[in-house]
Amino acid sequence: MASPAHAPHHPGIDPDETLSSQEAHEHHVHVTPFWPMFWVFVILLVLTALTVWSSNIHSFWIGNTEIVVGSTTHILMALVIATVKAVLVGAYFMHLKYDSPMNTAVVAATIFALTLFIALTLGDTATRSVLDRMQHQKIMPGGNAHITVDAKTGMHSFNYGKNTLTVARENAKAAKTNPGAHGEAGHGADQGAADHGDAGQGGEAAKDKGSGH
Amino acid sequence: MTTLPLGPAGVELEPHERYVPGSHWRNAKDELEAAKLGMWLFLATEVLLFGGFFCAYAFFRYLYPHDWHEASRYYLSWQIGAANTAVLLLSSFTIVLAIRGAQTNRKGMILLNLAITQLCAAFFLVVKIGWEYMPKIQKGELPGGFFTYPHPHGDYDHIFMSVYWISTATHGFHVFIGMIVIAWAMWKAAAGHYGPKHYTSLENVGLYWHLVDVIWIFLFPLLYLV
Repeated sequence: MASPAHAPHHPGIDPDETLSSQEAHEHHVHVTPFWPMFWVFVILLVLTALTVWSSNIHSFWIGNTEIVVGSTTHILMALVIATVKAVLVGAYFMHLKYDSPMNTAVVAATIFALTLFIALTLGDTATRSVLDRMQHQKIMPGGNAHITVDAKTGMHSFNYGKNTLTVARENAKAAKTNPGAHGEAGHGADQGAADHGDAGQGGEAAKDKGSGH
Repeated sequence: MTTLPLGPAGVELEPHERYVPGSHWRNAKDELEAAKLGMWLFLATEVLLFGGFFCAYAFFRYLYPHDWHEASRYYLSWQIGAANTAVLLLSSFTIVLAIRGAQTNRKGMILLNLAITQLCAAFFLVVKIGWEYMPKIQKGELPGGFFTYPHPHGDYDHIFMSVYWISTATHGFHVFIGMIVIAWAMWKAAAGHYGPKHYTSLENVGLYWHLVDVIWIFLFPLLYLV
């Protein structure tokens, strides 16, 4: 067992790491300051109040003009304030400001992945209407799958039909060859699958109508 | 690991003063940095877990913008959400002070601040469960197919409730896990494991707790306000 006098120079240990706690503190520990952290906390509370307040503004007046604040603006204001708060927590409370930049790089990569995730999902959702327009009817998930009922036996059987994209393409093609009939074609396909439940598949029925005129 | 039971003055050393980093590290600073980087990588996976809920929120909000906004106003009380936000911000601040206590070698400061953090977390969960979840369960304001509330406001209230329940319940579960790890940190602090030279696990508990706070910072306005 090392004697107290030799303790700082114990073999195998970096002398810098065996300093007394006070010395170690002076050497390399970044001590979290109190007042900056306190003010960050106060700013976070103020921003919370601001986000509550801003969400209740539905319109304001400039002179005689009333400016209406829409829900998109509300979402944007809320997200901007939340992002400012998150940056404050990250930079000060989570010490990203004082830490190795590697940690900030991890955060940046995470935000990138998250943005990609949400942006691609919303991009897909927002452009569904293009496909809708392409076939002049609502697209049912799963193409024109439908249930057929046998008139004699009353037995139900499931018909997988064609996939969404095939139906859309066929409808678009039918609409192109006979522009006057596309509204009908879409309607016919819809009804063929949903109402009558007959054996004829929606896509083919649309095609037949389109070329039959 | 070599232990040095006695300090220069012949007094017995606290565990944090005796702490020697693992032999594969050059020094304690490298060890702390690596542990923190690992924690940040874990937090990245947590952000992506909640990212799924935010994505579901964005998707349904895009599809039903009006009903979504009305459902938020109809079912949730912003006062409760705002009170919980303030409490979580306070708890984040006190855990920062607990780390400051470790860095300046004040055990009482660590324990006091961790205790306040613990109280804030308990307050958050009591308000969440007692004032939000229990009345909602009684009234049948439940997610998806479990939605049985007889006076719905719009056609998509059950979907709003699905996103509300999955995101806040997952967040509440994180608060609960946070209380367990903070209790563990308090036990370690009381046993003298945290000091200026060594407070790695306290630092990581703090990072986890701040992340829980950041997620709530986004959930609160999106669910309760806009």
